Amino acid sequence: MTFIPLAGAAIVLVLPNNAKLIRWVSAAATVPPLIMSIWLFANFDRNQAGFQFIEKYQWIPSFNISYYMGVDGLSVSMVLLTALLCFLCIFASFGIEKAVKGYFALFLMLDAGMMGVFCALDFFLFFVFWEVMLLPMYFLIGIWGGPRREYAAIKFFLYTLFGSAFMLIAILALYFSTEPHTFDMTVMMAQANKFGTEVLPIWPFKQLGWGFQHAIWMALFIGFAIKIPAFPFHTWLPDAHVEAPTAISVILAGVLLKMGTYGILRINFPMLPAATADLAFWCLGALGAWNIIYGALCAMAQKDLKKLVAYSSVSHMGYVMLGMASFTTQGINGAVLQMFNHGTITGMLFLLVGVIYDRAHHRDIEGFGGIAAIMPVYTGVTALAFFASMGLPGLSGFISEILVLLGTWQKYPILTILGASGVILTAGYLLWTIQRVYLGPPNEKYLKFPEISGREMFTLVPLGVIVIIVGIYPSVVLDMLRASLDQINQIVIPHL
Amino acid sequence: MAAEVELLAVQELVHVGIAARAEEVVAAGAVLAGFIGLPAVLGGSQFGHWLEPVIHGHAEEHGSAAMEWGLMALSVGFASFGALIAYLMYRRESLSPAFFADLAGGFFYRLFDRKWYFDEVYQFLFVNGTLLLAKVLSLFDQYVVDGIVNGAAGVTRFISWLNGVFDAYIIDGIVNAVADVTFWIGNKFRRVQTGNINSYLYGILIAIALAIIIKIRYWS
Repeated sequence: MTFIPLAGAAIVLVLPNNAKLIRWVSAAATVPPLIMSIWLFANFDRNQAGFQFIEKYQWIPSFNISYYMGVDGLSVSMVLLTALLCFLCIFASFGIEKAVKGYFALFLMLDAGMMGVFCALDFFLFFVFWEVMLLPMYFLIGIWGGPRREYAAIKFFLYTLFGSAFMLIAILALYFSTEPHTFDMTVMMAQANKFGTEVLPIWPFKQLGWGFQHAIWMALFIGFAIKIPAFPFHTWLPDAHVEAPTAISVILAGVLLKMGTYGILRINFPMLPAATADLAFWCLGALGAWNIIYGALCAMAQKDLKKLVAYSSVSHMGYVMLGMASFTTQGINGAVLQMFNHGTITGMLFLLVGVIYDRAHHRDIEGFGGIAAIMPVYTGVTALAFFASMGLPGLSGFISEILVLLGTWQKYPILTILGASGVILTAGYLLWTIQRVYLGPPNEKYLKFPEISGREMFTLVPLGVIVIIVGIYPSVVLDMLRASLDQINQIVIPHL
Repeated sequence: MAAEVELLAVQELVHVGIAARAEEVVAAGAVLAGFIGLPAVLGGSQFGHWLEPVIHGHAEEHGSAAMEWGLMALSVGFASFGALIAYLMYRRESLSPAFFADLAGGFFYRLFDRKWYFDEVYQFLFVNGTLLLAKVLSLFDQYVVDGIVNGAAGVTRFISWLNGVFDAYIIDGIVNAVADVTFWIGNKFRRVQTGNINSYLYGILIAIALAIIIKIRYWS
């Protein structure tokens, strides 16, 4: 599942320069992972909390590095999301004209990297796949992007790499703390109580009351916080999203952002539980609530449609952080469900922005008007996506947001109040955007716009269907998550 | 009570001239709706009893009979007064609306016409306030937070420029200095090669003399 896209990339590189052939071969390369992930989804044992479908081989025995891949509930949902989005984005990328071969080869490499991150259970392997994602992203944004693409690409790349440096320090620290020295994540999870929590006697750790475990937690958190993106490490996101081509924005928002919170749940929670219990309120909860409000307010002030959606991503990921900080069943399940939902919903939003950009070649909100009269089907789908983003009951966004808020209310009522007021702000800017762009008298310039095409609908419909289904019957996703997440939660709760 | 309040609202609609048919329907409905909650002194209503299984306890509060009669008289009185004024103003036209509108320089008329300026206050406080906050935060994000990021990039570039200068002038300078010193020493020693046999013999003589002196002095 991880390596078929990689093989696909290799095949694409040797194909002749026929754009059509390359596109369809790439699409074919993403179909097997999609089928396999659906198979995983069907055959995953929902009652078991541990890792399933494990593959473990010796890789570098002298350092105890193994090729260790497995999935649990948390991973399965992310793998499904990744496979689906990659498959759909191949079709969304059919509009690329320049250097088609390179684009699709890089895209498939990115796909392989993302799958690997979610399945990896060996820290070294995890880190390798994490870095594998960065390089294709840099080129994809930097070559096929908008006017300021070089700036956005290098900013994204260096910022994320900066975080990865911290992550590497933490990985090595954990490696040397385990007995025997190993990169195996399951071993690290089992030995979690060995990582010292006594206060380190040097400044600034002494002042903060931090131990070794807290220091590692912080190092990992900085790396992940840049990805989430958490304020104040989020400024790469508006630039990267605006300048990236449509399909890449979808992948960036739909999958890469989840890597940050996935990392926190997979690594910070089970391996460093005491530190998590100590630091969660400020680093996850309060920061999450601030993310929600700050992202929503910044989104309201935007004039570029894509930047608005980018800031709305910042806002929605705040809900994930808030849910994780609550350490309640509803909170953490809501948080991961929000990860899944945000992938589908924001994926739809970026695809929709791409549709209108392909026609008008600008994304200026004030420059549109009355698109509903010109492209009614498109407006209908957009309304669905916007309402889902708002958290309208009946659509999936509502379920995850309400679970997060319910979970957080039990612990931190103030944060819940802030989070709930974020819902109002979200509705504010989304409805205002609908009013400015889609409603009102049609703009004469755009009267001749073609309606949404079959290919574009094909990329949107599966996501829309999932949004509606999960909104009505969320157990489809929640069942997968519950056992594993409860186990992760239980590891931390004794330390609270 | 509900019926009387509804009637006042209907009269307001009359003042702005809604179609008669619509107001008849609404008025009829309003009058009938009031009967759902009859006060106790007039016989009470079944509505509260109907809700009892859901609301555990009493659905209604019961005040004293005097209070109930007083409230009914008050609300009916206000409604009748309003009906009377409307009749006089628009049916009999013995009172002129313009007189009342111009009272206190038109202040009251404007106040009620603009619905106590609630819309304007809301727009200013909540709408413009939120938009202003949004703008401020967005600019903060763009210039301060992103400024720190770009500033960090700038500082890194400056440090790397300093490094480049250090490397080119100082480290390389030392390398070049070694070369220069070697050249300078060689330049000085070049003078020894005169090509003049007399100088060479002179040198040999001095060397032998030095050797003899050293042998006598230090090797006994």
